[in-house]
Amino acid sequence: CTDDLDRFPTNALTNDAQFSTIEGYKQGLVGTYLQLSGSNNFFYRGYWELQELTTDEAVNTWGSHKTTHLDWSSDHAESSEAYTSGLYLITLCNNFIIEASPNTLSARGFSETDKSEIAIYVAEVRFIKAYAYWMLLDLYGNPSFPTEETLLNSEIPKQIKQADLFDFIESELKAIDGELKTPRSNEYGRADNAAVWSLLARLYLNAEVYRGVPHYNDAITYSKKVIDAGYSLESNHAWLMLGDNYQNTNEFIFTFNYDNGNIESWGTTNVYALGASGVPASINGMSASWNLYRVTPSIPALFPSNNPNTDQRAVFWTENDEASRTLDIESLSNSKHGYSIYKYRNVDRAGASLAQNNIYNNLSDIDFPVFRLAEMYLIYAEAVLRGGTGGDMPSALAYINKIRGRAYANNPNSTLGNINSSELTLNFILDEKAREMMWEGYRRTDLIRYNKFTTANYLWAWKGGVKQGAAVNSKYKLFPIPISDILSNPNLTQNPGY
Amino acid sequence: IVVKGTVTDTNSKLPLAGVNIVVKGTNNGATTDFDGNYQITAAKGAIVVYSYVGFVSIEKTVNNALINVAMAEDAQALDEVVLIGYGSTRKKDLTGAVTQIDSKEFQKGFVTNAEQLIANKVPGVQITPISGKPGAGSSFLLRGGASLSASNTPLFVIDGVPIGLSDGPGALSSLNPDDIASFSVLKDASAAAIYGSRGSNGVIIITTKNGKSGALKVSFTTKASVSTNLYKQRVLTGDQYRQVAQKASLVSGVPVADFNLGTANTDWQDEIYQNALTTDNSISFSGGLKSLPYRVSFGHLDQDGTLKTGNFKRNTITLNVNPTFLDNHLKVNLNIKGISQQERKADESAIYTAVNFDPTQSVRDPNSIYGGYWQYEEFASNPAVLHGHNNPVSKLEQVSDRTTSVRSIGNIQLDYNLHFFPDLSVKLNTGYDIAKSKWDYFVPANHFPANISNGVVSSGNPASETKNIFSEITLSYLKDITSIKSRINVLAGYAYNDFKTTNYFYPTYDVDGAIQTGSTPNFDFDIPQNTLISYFGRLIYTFNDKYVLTGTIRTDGSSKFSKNNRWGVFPSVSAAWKISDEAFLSDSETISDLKFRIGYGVTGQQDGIGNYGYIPIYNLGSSSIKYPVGNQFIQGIDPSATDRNRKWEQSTTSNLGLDWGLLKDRISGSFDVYYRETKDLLNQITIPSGTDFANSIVKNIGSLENKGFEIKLNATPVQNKDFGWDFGFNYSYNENKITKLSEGDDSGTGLFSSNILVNSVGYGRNTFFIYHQVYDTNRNPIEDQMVDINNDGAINEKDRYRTKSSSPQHIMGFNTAFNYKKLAFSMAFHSNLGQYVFFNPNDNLSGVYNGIFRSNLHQSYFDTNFTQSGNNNQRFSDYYLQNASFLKMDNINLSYDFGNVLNPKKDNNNLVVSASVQNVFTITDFTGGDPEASWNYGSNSGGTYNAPRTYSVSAKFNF
Repeated sequence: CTDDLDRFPTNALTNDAQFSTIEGYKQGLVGTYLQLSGSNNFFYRGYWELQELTTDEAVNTWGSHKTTHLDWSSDHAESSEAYTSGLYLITLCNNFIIEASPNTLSARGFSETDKSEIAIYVAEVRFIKAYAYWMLLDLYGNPSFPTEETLLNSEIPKQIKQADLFDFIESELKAIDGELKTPRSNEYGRADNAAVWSLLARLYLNAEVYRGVPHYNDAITYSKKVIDAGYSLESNHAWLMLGDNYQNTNEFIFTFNYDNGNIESWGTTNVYALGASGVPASINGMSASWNLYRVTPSIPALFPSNNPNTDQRAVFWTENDEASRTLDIESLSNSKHGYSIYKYRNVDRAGASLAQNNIYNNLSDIDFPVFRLAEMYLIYAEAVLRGGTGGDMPSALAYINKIRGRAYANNPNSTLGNINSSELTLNFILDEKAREMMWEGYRRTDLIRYNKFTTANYLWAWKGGVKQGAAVNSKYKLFPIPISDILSNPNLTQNPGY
Repeated sequence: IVVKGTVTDTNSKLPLAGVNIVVKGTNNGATTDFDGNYQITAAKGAIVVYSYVGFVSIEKTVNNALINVAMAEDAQALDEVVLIGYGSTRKKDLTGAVTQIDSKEFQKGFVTNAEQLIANKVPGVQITPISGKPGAGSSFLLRGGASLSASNTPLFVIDGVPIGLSDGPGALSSLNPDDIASFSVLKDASAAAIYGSRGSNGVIIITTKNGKSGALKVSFTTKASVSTNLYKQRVLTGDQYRQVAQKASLVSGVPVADFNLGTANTDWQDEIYQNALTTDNSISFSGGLKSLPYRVSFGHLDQDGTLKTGNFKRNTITLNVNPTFLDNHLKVNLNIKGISQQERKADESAIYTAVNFDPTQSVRDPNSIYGGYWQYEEFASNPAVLHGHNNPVSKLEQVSDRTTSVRSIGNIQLDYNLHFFPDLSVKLNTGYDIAKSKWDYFVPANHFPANISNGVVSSGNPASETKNIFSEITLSYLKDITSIKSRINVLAGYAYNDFKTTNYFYPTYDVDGAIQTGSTPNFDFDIPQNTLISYFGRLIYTFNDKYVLTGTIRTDGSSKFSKNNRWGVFPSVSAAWKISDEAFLSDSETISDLKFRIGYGVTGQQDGIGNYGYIPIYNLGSSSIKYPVGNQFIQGIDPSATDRNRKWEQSTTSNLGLDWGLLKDRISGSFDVYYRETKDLLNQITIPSGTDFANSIVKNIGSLENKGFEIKLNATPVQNKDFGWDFGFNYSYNENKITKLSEGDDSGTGLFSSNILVNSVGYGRNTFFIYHQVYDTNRNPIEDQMVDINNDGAINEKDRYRTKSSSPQHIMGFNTAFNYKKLAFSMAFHSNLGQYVFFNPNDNLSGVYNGIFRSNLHQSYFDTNFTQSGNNNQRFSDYYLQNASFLKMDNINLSYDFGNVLNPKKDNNNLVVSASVQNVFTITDFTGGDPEASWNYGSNSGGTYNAPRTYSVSAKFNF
């Protein structure tokens, strides 16, 4: 009776059982979206904090302030988490690609119709993998590089250099261009071909940083592809980060989707809403603030005033009793030093809170736009100004003025707030991006591209650990590879300076 | 003539039933009846032989028709039989490192958990209470532990029932210590290899008391005790905290008013502990019904925890019958144990919370909407970060967490001695270990921060059902061949073990009966199961009663491995030489016993690693996370990390031993030296990111060696009519070194098992890996300044160094007993030397304003004056590494035997009254509490539930 030695788990499935149906493959696909969106982890929340807390857009109240001081060492825990989560996501993607290889699909007896549907899933997973690698490229430069072969052969991953990783992401995205659904034709929450172009546009805009060579022509090409794919700005900027923002399909290209009754996680947009210091439940639509995030004075200074009467994007929370909150940040630990931002609100367009279908009363329905049209406008304009060909200055100005019109008059076609061509400079683009996209996770990348992140070219409160701001070592443009991976993977070399 | 008479026990004066009576040189025999009476026909002048197992045989010459015989227990005979795997052997035939501890040597005084009976008595076996929780078991570590990540718990065999390893110590805490007769500890591979894949951490064979023929004997024991908590963390008082807050405010720039300090001086640790009462009563009945020896016992334990509201109740019933049939050719031994337990668990996280909770607040607040308990109401909106940080008293008093379980362990052993071939016997041993549990969990709606969820009502009935079954068939052949002065003892066997548990899952409800969102489980139940199939054999060959050779072999198949790696073979060979029986020593007055042993063997390990780790599987993701896609909500799947090539962990042990006795064994002892190498270590390792679906996985990587020696010494310096003095000492030394960790280059740091513990080649298991602290001229530590060992200008992991191991090197146990007439006095101590603990109290100001909750600081703040949070380096400073060597007095016990006060006319009864103290004192330089507490580095400094000090009295009636 040695057959009794064959024991199998009761509820878990082997890979052949899991992937015996197309629904099983869709579950696998959704698993990658779950990981990317932070629905079951802190991956994106961690990424967002690395992009914001290192800059003038946000400081946090609790715990270590080394991220804000740009003064971390190789055991920087905050960047370590995003690294391991990102590589976990890449491993999930590699596994899905293996399980969905043409030979495997044939062996499992799928029909041609199913195979072509699964081929779309594979293209989406390759996009997600490219997106995750882009995040690692931007944060760590030279991360570990597991491939499908790593998983198949139990190999220890090699390290990849920044320039090579740029080339890999570019070639992957080009290889799947056209294999995802056409723009705006996929289910809401899944990536389509416009997402591929958007990531290419973002990658090319930063090519000088990543690769040492400019790719502004390509940035123009791909942002233009997205712009021409049928998107338009929503009429009201305040609608972008509301609990019913699933309606913004005109502007949103690819979103992470959240639902307070179905996603129980503290790694989603609820953190950006609840984290905003001092914002009461009546505004954020959930409960009282966690008093976590504030903004340095540099950002309110970009606006005509610190209330939304003129530029409606100036959603700065100065406290009901204004005297108790200061613009200046004397102490990073004092949650009332510095204004905060009530951009993310779990209410509908009419201002009513959404019903909480969970036991926490604190979860979010605000979808997170990974790519939205305004970014493509800004990429187009910046690439034109940086000398890229294939675009033109009048279009750039027109795109920027759509953003301005909406900001000043709830109407992209309004001339209110519009600028003229002489005002359209690179620095204006950087400032406009901060106004339009503050707290959306862009700032660190943008400041690095403008060479303002570590240098004395631009200082803000508590940069370098001093209130007036100070330049720091240029090594801080990249985060260290986490010690745990350095120690466990002999193929890795630490980033310079750590 | 017809001879009649009665056979009694010289000691108890009770009749003996079932005594064999044979007329020498004939087949003419008889046995005594229940009252010890017999009748036999014999010629005058013939010799009649009276024999009975465990008694000295007596020969009488027939002179008249009445012969009453008093038989004495054969102390020699009892001592001489030692339990080994699947049977027993004469002590003189023993070749392995086996320590047997009988009830005479058990720890005196108040013992609620069976393993404490032998704690610190067996050299090489470290038995440490897991926590102070009532009903909590102990951890076992044999000779430094064979494994890194797999189980280090020995195999327990209780009355022939091998217990599932994962439940090992738990099984012991369900036994009534009063029922236990002996422990036999098989330490080296030559003794344990007969258990093959389950023998690497040693085997502990436990027998409970069984029935003996004769009149009814009743034994009743009643005990009562009170326990007090021994250790508190030295934290700031409310007044100190208010002062420190002023400084925290200056450092942080946060106004003191924002700390919302209270005006109280609350010692939260005093608020959570209580003096705990325990009562323990047990009664046993034993004797013989006709020729059916039996023993029945009942026990009832009711134990409060020193942590308020904790309580553990245990009822036990045991039944043993061991009749013989077919002219003693068929021996039957039936054991059934029933255990029911009811526990109310006190939330142990209250200990950590009490250490950290704001001492300026009162326990109760009349304005609180949370059941009247003061809470951090300002953080009510943030349950995610607040989780667990509510008023520790409310955690204990408001939450009701109850489990009840019933369990039965039983087996029947049929040992048949073949009529036509009496040297051969067949033994069938089959049995079960079944259990069923349920839980009830209730949190009222006004518990903070559960207010959002409107309370929690959760119950599981059944929660789980365990059905472990086993069967063994052994064939043994025992033959004395006097012509060649040889004795042959051969055993062959087959065993089947199946371990199956069904876990049931239920949704949770709020107090109004509504299902809590997201709590509906993915599945109603899960049935983890594993199976082990084994074939084994053993030969013990004794020549001239002086030279013994033992060989064993076992092959095991385990369901935890793939077909390719499923079967393992575990051989052993050992020998012994009874030197004291050689002519040149046999007449020695001084040396009464001298035996030399040598052994080598291979054992395996397959526990502690999960049932299905070799199979790539997908689990349904959390039911509370369904990703919105289009108009659907889709649940994810989680692939599991998989090691397809997982196989046995394998240990080889060599052992040299010497047993000796002087002056008729007034002084006796043993010495063992061993070397054990474990290969293919099942090791939880941090794997490079991107290689599997986890940050770490259990893989067969590396080798570990343990070497050491053990000394056991027992002496009776004084023994006369009125006064006796016994003394026992044991010492073990173990050195542990990792010799290989990976397939490739092993020069790197190694593998972390926690933030500060690393496993590196050339160093001991779990070695501290930390920075050198920099000190100022006054020898005070400078905050966050560490020595730049490699002088590269940066402080990073390259500046950390490996220092002491977290395991003690020297372990000692002492015990001594005096008796003067009917007064007895005993003490027991133990000591660990060369033991280090990393104790990192909360000693920086950031605790006061860390925002999640305003946590208290340790008094060491006044030594360090540290102010900053986020000091990554400080957390790994050797400033916090302390020598935690200690000497503990475990027990002091005084007892008086009042003799036959119950019925002065009969002398088979007595009353013994005793008083004892457990955990009497500890001498140590360690400042962090109990130096023996289990330290979970990096997460719970000061949060452990320590074993309390217990004062107890007991009375034992025998009649």
